Amino acid sequence: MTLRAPHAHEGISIPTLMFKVILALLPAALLGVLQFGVPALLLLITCLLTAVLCEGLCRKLNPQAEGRVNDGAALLTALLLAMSLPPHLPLWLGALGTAIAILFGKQIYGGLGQNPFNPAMLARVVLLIAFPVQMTHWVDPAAFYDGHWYTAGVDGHSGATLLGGFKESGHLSVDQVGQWLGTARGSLGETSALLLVLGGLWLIWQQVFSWHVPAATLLGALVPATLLWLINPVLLPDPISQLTGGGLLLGAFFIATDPVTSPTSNRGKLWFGAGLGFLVFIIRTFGNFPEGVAFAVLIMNGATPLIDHFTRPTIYGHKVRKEEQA
Amino acid sequence: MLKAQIRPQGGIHPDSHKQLTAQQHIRTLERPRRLILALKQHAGAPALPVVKVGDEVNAEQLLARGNGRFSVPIHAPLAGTITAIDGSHIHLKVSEEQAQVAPLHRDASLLDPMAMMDLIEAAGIVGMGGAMFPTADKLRLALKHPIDTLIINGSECEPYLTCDDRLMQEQGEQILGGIRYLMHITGATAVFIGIEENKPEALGHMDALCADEPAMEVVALPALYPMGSEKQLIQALCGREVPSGKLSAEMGILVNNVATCIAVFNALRFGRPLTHRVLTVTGEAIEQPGNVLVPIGMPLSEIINQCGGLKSTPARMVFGGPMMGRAVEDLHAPVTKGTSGILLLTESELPRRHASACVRCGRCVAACPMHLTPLQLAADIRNDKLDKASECGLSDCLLCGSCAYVCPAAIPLTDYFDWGKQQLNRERLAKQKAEATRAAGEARRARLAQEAAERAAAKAAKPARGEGRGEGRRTSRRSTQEAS
Repeated sequence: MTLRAPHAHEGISIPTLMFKVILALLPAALLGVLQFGVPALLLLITCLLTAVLCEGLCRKLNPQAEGRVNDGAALLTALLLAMSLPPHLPLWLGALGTAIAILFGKQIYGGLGQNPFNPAMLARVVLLIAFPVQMTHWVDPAAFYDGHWYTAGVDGHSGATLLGGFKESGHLSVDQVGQWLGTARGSLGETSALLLVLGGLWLIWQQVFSWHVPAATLLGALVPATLLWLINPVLLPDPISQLTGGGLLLGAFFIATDPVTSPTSNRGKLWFGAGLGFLVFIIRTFGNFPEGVAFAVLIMNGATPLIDHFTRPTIYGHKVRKEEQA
Repeated sequence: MLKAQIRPQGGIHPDSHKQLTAQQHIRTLERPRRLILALKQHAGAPALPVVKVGDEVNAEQLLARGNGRFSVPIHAPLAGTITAIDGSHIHLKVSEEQAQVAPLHRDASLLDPMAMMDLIEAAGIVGMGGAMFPTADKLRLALKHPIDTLIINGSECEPYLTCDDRLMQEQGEQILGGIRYLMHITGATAVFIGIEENKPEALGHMDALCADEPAMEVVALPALYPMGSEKQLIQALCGREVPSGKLSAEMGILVNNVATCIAVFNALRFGRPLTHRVLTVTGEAIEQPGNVLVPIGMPLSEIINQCGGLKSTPARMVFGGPMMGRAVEDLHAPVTKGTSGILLLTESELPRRHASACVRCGRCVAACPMHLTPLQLAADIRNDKLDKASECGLSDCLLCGSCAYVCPAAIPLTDYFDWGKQQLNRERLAKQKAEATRAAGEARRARLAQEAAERAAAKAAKPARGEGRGEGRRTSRRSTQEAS
């Protein structure tokens, strides 16, 4: 216990931050469950349970690890991972991915705040490379308002996502309203651009994170994409489809803003976001994969210490002193 | 009324809690039964008592004299009997009958600046914002440089405190009187009175008073903590940063608190030493929060009694503001010259006690008014890398507490920096000592060598005929041998 100043506090704690992010994600996740039915719900539950189990196990094995089981961090990781997975992924793969995220993405480094890479994205990339077929199995969302709900064991029609389809065929079959509302094919939680944007803006308003990373990420991806699209529209989908299709919004608002693996200064956050967005653009346009948010996040996570080093704020009174000495 | 030139980057907007006391007029408390006067109420060494146990003293009588650098005298606020003098305090039993001390009416503007500074020192005046640096020494140090701007700090950025706000509204004339003396002493031609925007009454009142004063300008500052820190204040008012490691006086600027101005006025105009001060008694645990005029040395318990007692047992008692104040555990702890507030805080007003892991969210980076990277500094200090922390600006830290205030993990960042700064200081002193020892050793060796050389020279100079010549011949022979 400390009796030293300050004797006041803003009152925000880490669990508050984590649960606010979870709350902001829930609408998009629930929509995913409504659209993709019981298999999606089971996948979500599997991921969350596995996360809590793994976290508890690690705390037993290494009581010195940072963080607590109930601080919400593990749940958030699992939720983000589940929302970035194909909705009808076999449950054991969901469990495996979550275990990788918690065990090898986070706890192996010493727990909360110690990991260099975003655990959810690390696990997603491992799954994507190890199980490419299951990880690109995109089912059609059922129009839940028409009563078409999937039930367990009944597999729906599947096809390509918007970006994947463009990669394969070179032309776009786009229903913009569907992309915004979330009636298009895609990962469990990334289908509704509208809900993700609303959730993200709410978090900025709640000061859970600042606008720097999301704004820079979106600009970093869309500015070069727009320029290139204006020059050569055949090469890549139009910027609006780039924004609403795929994981760009989920990544910009909820994944890139992970404080642990992104830079600390505002200037650093802008560089980080811009680099991340640009990498997404590069991978989507010139890479083998239709989508590159997870790869881009991991690469920029690796660059975070460097960015932090070069964007350290100039200390008050130091610039003036240097000028005077010069 | 002017606006701030620059809004300083960083800083925080804590809950002000000022509404508890902002409308409370300054109330003079009843005479306490006893006073406990700390001998160290200034930056330097403790004052030396000039009275002994059993002495009857009058109000405003000298009790202890300054002891060297940055040390000032202490006077009796009330008449009474000295009951005890221990190593750090003089205990005074206050008499039932108090003779009125007639104030001296003096036209101090006829005095020369040196004499005025001596009077300020003799009155025992220290910076009343909390730093308790002797005002006379501050003036003397500043006057080594030409001073053109005087900044009067009425920002009162600490949450809860409203005593400076009240002083500006109720004793504005005395503040202006003090400012005129300070202008006379320093020769400053421009005066900025900086007040935060969240004190509209004080701003209006001071602005009206300054209407006839061409040299004085009231400046509305953004309500931001730590606006009252000297460096942030200068940046907002003058648009310039104070270079690291330099004094504001080198930029021609002197900063003083409004309460200090009143003390200066009373000392020069009426010959009154600093024996009383206004402070804010507040917090959710006190029955009647308010602004009170108390004799210095009044014990906390008597102040609580006269403020209606406690609503509940305070979870923490703080002298000063919540951001930089000092927690006290003794219910009889006495008020000092630098006590700007007494907070009786309940558990709900306090920060969480258990820190969790840093998630590198960067809130501390955005909050730091000095643009440091607190999370990195704390990590360096934890890992015993004081050198690196020092390179990254540890010594520039103000210990303002902004980083710890916003930290969602409740990491006691200010503790780390306080410890780190003290450690750096210790290392610097140890180095100085080692350096001095080494220099002394070298000087001794040099002296011994010189003495030996002198002895040898004296011996050589002694006429020692045959032997000396023979010696010379032998060497010359040897050298020719060597040469061949």
